[in-house]
Amino acid sequence: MSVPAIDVINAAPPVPKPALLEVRNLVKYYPGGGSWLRPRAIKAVDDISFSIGYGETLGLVGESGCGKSTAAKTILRLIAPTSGEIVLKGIDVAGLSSAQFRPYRRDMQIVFQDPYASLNPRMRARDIVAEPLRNFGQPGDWDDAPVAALFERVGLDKAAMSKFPSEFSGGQRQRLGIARALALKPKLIVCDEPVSALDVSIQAQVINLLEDLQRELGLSYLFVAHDLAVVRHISQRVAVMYLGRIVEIGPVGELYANPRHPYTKALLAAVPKVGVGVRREKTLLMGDIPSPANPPSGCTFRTRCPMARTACADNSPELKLQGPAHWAACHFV
Amino acid sequence: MSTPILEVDNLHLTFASRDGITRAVEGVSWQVHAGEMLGVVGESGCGKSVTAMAILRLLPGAPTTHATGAIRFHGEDLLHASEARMQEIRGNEISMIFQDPMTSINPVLTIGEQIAEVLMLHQHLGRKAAWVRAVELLALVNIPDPQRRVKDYPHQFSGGMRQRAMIAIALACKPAVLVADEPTTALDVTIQAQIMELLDRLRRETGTAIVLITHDLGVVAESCDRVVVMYAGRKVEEAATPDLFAQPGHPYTRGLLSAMPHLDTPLTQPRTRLAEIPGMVPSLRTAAVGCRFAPRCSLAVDMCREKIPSFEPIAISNPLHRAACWRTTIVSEEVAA
Amino acid sequence: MDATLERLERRIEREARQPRLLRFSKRHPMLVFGLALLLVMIFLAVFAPWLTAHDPTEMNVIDRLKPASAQYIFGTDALGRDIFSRTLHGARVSLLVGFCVALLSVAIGIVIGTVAGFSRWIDAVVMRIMDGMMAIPGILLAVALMTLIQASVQTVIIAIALPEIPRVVRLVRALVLTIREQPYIQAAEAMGTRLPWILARHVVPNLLTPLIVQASFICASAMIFEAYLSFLGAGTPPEVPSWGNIMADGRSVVQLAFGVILYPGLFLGLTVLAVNLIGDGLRDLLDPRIAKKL
Repeated sequence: MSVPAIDVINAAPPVPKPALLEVRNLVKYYPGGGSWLRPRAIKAVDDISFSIGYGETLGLVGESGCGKSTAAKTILRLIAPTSGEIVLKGIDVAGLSSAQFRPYRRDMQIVFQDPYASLNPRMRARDIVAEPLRNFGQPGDWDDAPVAALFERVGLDKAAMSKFPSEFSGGQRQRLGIARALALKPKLIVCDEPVSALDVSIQAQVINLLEDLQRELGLSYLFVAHDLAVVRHISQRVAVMYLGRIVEIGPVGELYANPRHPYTKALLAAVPKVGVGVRREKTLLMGDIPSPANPPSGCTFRTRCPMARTACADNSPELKLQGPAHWAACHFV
Repeated sequence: MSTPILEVDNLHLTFASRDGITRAVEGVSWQVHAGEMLGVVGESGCGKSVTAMAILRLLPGAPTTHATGAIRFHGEDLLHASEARMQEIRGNEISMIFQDPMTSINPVLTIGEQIAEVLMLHQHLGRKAAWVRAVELLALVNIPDPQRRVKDYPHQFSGGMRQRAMIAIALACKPAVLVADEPTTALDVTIQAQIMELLDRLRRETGTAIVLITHDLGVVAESCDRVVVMYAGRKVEEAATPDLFAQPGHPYTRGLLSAMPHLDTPLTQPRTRLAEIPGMVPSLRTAAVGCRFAPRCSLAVDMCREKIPSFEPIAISNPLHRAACWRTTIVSEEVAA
Repeated sequence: MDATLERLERRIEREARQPRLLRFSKRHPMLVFGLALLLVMIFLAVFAPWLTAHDPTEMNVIDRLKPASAQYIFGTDALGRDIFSRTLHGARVSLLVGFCVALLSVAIGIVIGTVAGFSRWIDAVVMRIMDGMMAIPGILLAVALMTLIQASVQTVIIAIALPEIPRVVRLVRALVLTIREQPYIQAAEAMGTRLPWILARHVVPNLLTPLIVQASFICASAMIFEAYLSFLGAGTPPEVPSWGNIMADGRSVVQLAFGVILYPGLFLGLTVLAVNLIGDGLRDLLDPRIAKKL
């Protein structure tokens, strides 16, 4: 579903600024859904739109099959978008050829979830971080200084530059991945579940690092995660996805305090909370998450929704304004 | 207090490899009673999973694994029981469910066959009777249309349903104890809530004791009666759940709770930094003289580095809430600040 | 601590203090034995001219079919040539063929397999060609090739390498398909790394470990293959002594001078054994799970 007029999306802070990244009607379909007799596309990302301002963090949350990781990778064109616009600093890069797009890669980088598989085990740490520099720098420029500076910035010892990834711990490897992402001085870093694979005590270190870097360098983040508490801590605005669509988007405080969409409410209720004497009854969401290959007709959430009525099967709801810059897609809110 | 069904008593687990000896578990003791859910919580490498594997003797034998201490089930020491006796116990009197339902269930057998296998083996049911019971069990764990689904293969189930199937297999013989090793870590949060609710309901209905091993403090807070916190192979705190979260006694527990963002902390602009625990978990290859947490602890003094702290209550009023810390328990007045 | 544990700890410490080579040999006895044996063979091959009294092609017809003696260490063949000398010089050919075939087939296999792993349409074409090649028994393919081109050591190498390539391509392609999905490849793409560099720096280095093991087995197989070809008369030209050649020549006189078949055959067998042991040993060495066990 599309979100009209740009200014309203960026309404927090109140003075609208030009957006760093604007995604409009992004779609990614894969073949192979439905059945043999009636083949359908798997709608991994089904028409989403949002924008991210300079120095801002947009959190993207959802469960398996919601398409958040696919969306993140499609924005970076690691996956080819089926249709839609990806407007980076005012220029639509979705339709560019690989060669034309390559210079824009300097502005958008990515940090991956798996600290073990996201680093080439056969390359030394120095080379891993230097690679982006060598891709875009002068051919003869093998100076160690910029790499050493990056190591320091993310809290790694310069002496570790000659080590292989297997000699680092999980948290250190993630720092290495962050150093690599910073090398080209990007404006936007897509963080695809950057702390999910880390222990809680290390998560805090990496989250603090990401926040420090944002402050120092004016970075924007697209923070994709399933941990709602972490997203709440690091984001200014949050979008909730379900089966390829954004069902709710809004400022973080407002969305968490007053969720409007039944899925958001259920998600927040399901998160186990560490509170004193917490053993309250919860309304649990019944059933399983439908497969993206065979989504329900109309509103895709209706099979699990406590508020579902017959009208929900007919057409899928559009995002409606609920409050300042707060949108939800439900027929009944 | 009633007698515990399962008791781990001063367990030491060591693993030997070419690179040296790893002291995975050092002097850990806890108990669980009928109908109780005990949470064993800690980060990776703390030894919680290997303790669970040791209960059912699923670890490789000597010389790789070396175990001392006792694990008593109804008073019987499982560490020294015969393999034949262990086979009687596994799946029958003590069951286990694992983290990844895709790899913990045999993908080439139907779900019904796997449930029936346990029933035929331990309860000596005939094939037909076992299948009937399998359908009943699937209904018990809320799998819709169990008559049809009992003939399905694991890949035809979703992740949450596979986990339910694994619970069905585990509870088929009505075990006295269920050991759940990170059962919801791989599941989405809405499915996790369903599974935890199922486990809670089942233990209240059947009286099975559950040992829940996890790294997620939230899950423990909502479901467990008592909690044991482990760090680097040792038990550092033990308490009833509300007590632990109201007044965490060990600096590590406090550190974990402050390092996690919570849904109800106030949102300031800019955000308050998460309180980090500096440093990393120590290597378990080297023997530690004092408290394992001392290098990372802001309260540490010389005594902490020299002597392993004894397990003491944190307040005289609540002897069941205990921690291993020289600075925060009732022995702290002996330790000069 | 516990007594058993202390003993274990002391044992591990003692082992750690031993000199590295000794420790290595104890842990990987077969690998070390294979290496030693192969080194002996290589030594004999390299220094053949200095170790032998007679030229391998020198014919002393009067001394034909003599048994082993001080003058002719392995005896002589039907044309009076010293078998010892021929065997040692034959080692040169056989070892050369083995190594070159392994190197060539793996190198070509890497190139084809990597490209096939990355380009869907090239993959479709290439794999059908490979299937076709694998459908023809390797020996027939090699013999057919040898009849078309002039026989020499180089052509024998090519003829033997060709049937080995499809297997390597299969292996490489499967590995490449797995490696492609790894996040570090996507990371390289996101940083603007161009495809050739991704292939050279990220993909190929991660292929090498399983390929080294495969290469050693190809080497062993190639040496036997060469012996088959020469035995059939389609291998190395008769002037060049190779183990297969020598045995082929001795076919007719096996009852009179068994040594003509025995000694080259023994050498071939030992060398192939050595290379196979190295292959097995390398596989165990590079598998981290086995490497760490007590």
